[in-house]
Amino acid sequence: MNHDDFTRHGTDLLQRVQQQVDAPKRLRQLGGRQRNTRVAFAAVAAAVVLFVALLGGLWWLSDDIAPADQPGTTTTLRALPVEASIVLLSQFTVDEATGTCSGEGDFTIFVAASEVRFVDELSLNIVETFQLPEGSVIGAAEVARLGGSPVSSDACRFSLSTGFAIDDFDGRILDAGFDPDPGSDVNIGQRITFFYGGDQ
Amino acid sequence: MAGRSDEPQVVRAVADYDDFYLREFPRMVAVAYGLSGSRWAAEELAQEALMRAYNNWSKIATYEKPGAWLRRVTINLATSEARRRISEAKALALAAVGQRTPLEAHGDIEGAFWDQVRMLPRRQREAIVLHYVDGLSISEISEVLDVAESTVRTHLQRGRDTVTAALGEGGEA
Repeated sequence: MNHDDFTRHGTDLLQRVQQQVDAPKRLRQLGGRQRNTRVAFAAVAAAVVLFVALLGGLWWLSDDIAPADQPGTTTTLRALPVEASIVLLSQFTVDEATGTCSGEGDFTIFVAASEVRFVDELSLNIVETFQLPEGSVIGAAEVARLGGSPVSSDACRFSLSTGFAIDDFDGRILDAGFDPDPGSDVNIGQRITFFYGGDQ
Repeated sequence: MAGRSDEPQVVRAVADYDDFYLREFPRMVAVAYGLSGSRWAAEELAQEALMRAYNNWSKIATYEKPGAWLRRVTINLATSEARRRISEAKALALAAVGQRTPLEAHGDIEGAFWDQVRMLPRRQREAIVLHYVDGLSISEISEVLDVAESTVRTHLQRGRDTVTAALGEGGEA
């Protein structure tokens, strides 16, 4: 096979996709998805408020009526780990030789689609999700050895600082959706996950 | 981004994005399909990449080459999708330790040629898809992949050689 054969395969694939893809329709769907996202955000925000209120109520009730040594819903919910999943807009680089993290934009930008998830620690099911507010920033980054995670190589450890209800949301990158090529500086668009506390 | 000076900034930005979307969506579907082998996943990946562009259009529109940013995102999403599917397949195949589980094949544009391309090392298949499907030049690919042009040439040559050898043994699709 020569260069022309490859060109023919590539052109054929592109043409067949272009014939089958309805871009204007997808564009309308994208607009609808944006509106749906805003509606969903409002709904989720309301749900979070109700959820917190419910937790408070359960906690208050448990003090009054639940036996102290009986494991209950309140105990489980209080121990929920918190995840924040963000998508990098800026490149970052891990220099394992010097032990430094560097990148563009001072790590201050990530997309509005970033979200926080509350996860049941027993079932690992996601029980609540809400969007991080725009303006949230990554406040710091340092190299961390991910010895306890499925990813055993070096990576950048980030801290979220302002614009988020939980201060000092300190976490580390886990393997899910994380840079498949540690050390590479092509990370734009990668989704990374933070765990509250950072030492799980 | 040229525009009439009396147009409101927001209107121009939206129009710019619409053009960007209409131009890039089919190409990103093709790129994602070439990398992932799943028509369904390819549309979702392209849509997700363009969604991220939409969410940050005020910033991305100022880039000299927003298309390069979009291609990086699409490629990274395709890589993540492939890793996720591999992990799922491995989890489902725990009883068959030692055997590689092939990715589920979707779509109607399948062929032995692209199967071989997708078996190439990541950089080689990315270079081949960007060059032969998306029509990018060596220089443009080097920007998207953030590697030297000589490296792109090497990836393309090695990828072509490998695919040619593989198809030569079993016959072309």
